[in-house]
Amino acid sequence: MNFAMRLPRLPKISLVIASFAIPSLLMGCTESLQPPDTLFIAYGIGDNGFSNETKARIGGRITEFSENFKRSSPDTNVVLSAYKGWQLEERIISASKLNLGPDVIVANLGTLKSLHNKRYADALPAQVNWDQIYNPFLKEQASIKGQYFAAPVLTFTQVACYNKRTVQAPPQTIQELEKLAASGTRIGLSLEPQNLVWTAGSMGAIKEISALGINPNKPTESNAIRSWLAWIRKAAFYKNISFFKSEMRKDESFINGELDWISCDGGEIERLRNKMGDALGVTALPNGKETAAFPVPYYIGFGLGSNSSTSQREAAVKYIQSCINLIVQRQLMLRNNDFLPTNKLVSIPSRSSETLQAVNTSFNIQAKGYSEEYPAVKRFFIGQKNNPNRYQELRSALADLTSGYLTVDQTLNIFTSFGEGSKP
Amino acid sequence: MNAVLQELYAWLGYLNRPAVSWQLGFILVVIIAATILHKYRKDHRLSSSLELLFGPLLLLVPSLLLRLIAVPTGISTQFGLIWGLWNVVSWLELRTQKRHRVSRVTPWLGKVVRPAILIAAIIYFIDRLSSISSIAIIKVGTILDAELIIGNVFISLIGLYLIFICSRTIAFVMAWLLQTLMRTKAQSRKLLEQLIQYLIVGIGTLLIALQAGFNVTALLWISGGLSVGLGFSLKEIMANLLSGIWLLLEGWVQPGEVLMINGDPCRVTKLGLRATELSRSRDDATLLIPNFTFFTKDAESFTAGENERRESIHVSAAYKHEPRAVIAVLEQVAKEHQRVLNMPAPKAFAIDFSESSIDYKLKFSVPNPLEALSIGSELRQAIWVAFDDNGIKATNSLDADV
Repeated sequence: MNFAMRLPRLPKISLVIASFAIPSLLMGCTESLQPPDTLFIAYGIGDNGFSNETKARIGGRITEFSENFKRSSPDTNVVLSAYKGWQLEERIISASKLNLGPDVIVANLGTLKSLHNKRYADALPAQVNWDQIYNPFLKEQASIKGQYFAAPVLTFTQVACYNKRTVQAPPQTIQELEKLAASGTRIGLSLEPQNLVWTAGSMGAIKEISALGINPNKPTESNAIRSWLAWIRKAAFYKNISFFKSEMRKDESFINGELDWISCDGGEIERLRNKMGDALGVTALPNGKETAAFPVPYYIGFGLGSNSSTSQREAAVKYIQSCINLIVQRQLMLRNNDFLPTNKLVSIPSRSSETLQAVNTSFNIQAKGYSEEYPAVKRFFIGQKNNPNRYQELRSALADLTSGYLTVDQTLNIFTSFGEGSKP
Repeated sequence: MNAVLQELYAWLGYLNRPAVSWQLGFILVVIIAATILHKYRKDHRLSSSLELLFGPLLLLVPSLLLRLIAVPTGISTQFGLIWGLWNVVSWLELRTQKRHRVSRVTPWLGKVVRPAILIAAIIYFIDRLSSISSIAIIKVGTILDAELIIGNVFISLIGLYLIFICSRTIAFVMAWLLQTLMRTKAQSRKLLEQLIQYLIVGIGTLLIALQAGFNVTALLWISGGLSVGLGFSLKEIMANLLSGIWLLLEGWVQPGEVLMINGDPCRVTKLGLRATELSRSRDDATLLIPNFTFFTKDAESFTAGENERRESIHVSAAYKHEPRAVIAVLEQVAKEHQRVLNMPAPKAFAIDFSESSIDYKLKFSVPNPLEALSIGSELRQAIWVAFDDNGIKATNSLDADV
């Protein structure tokens, strides 16, 4: 029996289509049907709302990188996909399970490290000498056992933002900040531990925090930590100092003129400037009498997705290299003053702008001054494996301290208690 | 729209990945094999369950086996699972259709469950190919100063579909509940159901328009304009609609009632919001009378809410017969007829002395007014037989008024 002769029309048509399509799909397509060379880039948008405005603002920075890459690779189609920040990791994992993951991931180093540990982001190729680009401090953040899992491209840090119309001279010390509040200037501080810990630096508590982070079980002096917590408690009593659980609300209050001075994330300076214009002043966070503030920097980097074809991987590495080279990093920094380059060879012309000077002081003087203590301080706040909820506990304790529910000693007890495991 | 086209074009870039292109090729082969089997089954009468299983299994089994040796099969596995789920619903549809020819569940499988699977599958794959959050905020146009974004348009279309699909069932449930709670007549439930359905569609469409980002002020302007337009151009339709609602509230005209239309008795079969449907007993014709007619013309109701009909037959008998005997015969004939109601009981009367006869009138009730003519005819025949049996001579002719 001739089976083919008895086929209905539809299967016959399907067979004809299949006879063209299947070999094309399986053998990588013919020249004329060649799909475009495409580089898929995924990035996250933070907590400030997912809208066309934020997408354009953050996507605009990545587009700046892409334009530079396109100069040397004009035939490669660069496709940007914006995800909600808190969904980025989960969505990349879901897409990667279907081999539809991005070729390049733009995220903070924590997310990239997590994706790398779960094998959804590959290590950067060892053929490239990344050590020529990054200083040891950054290498420690972006590598595991000497192998880079991310290529940091932007450094963001904490600074102080103030309204030039109401604050004539920004405070240089935390004591001046207190006086300013007493004289009627409205201050906004964060209740998020990582955004409030800068005051621990100004109050001279970092060494004790670091010592507890290194060895939680060793009896350590905690007078400075107590003084820091007492200062927070005292600040909460001030009529003009407000603590905010939500960073977004704090920033919005500042934009609306309800606050005159706030501690702010460098990544938000552009948004604040767009809203406030020339009224926005940016300066480094106020130090203490003897110690510097402790701003917590964070890094945005590139990671390599795990699904790329050979050509896509080559393009991805080329893209990353084009973004972190000396010229592009310097140009990018001069166009956008609210972050620092990661390439160690770029010199920072801090006198060129007030913002750049503030960001530079914050990172290169204040933060780097604590580079030795930084890992232990991080451990102090994040905790060990036996108490994964420590950060949330500390955040909750700070909220209770400022609302008067906990005394300074009770809060100190929570801060210095380790090893009991976390309460849900 | 350019942004949407760019997004779609960008997805072609995934074909550069051998892991993706081989899976698409594999899926295509399986679809073709399933299509061939579909035709082969029709010719050879194979089991439909086997056909439904064939495609998904042909995709899933190799995919899962290849996964064990680390061959990428994520797309083909997911496609197979969705295809399988789709076919399970199709199988359920077939089974319920075979078991119960008129099933309440079957239409829902086709109208809601399968579209839901399809939409979920589309969203799932779009979210893997790109970021659905990002695509959702792409602008596709501006209407009445409202910026339309893909996400809202998509949600609005689904909402409209659900409203039109589910409104009838929701209206049915609500009308039934109202009928139970307010103890309204069963006949008016259908009209109430229709009214609720229109309300759901109206309010639902308005809410969807607001959700899509339409300006409330613009919607008010449109509704104002429409009201004026409706007032002039659709005056009669609106009048009929309002009359229908009024008839429902007053309950004067209800299904089952018999009305005289142009001298013919007609039964109300359906009371719609715009028009009332009647069945004319004379020729079984269906009449569609605009509701407004009942407010502008006299309508004669035989039943006025009750279906019973009192009928009468005029008979003349010779003077020689005693009226009591004639009356007894007439009443007996009526009582013996199966379709004549016992309550109220048939009653005969001597009503006139004519030149050569005494005139009688037999009054009786029938349960269905539309049967009055045939029952009258049968009674006349029975009276003729009874008169003959009792030796009563009918004079002139048997005459009847209906």
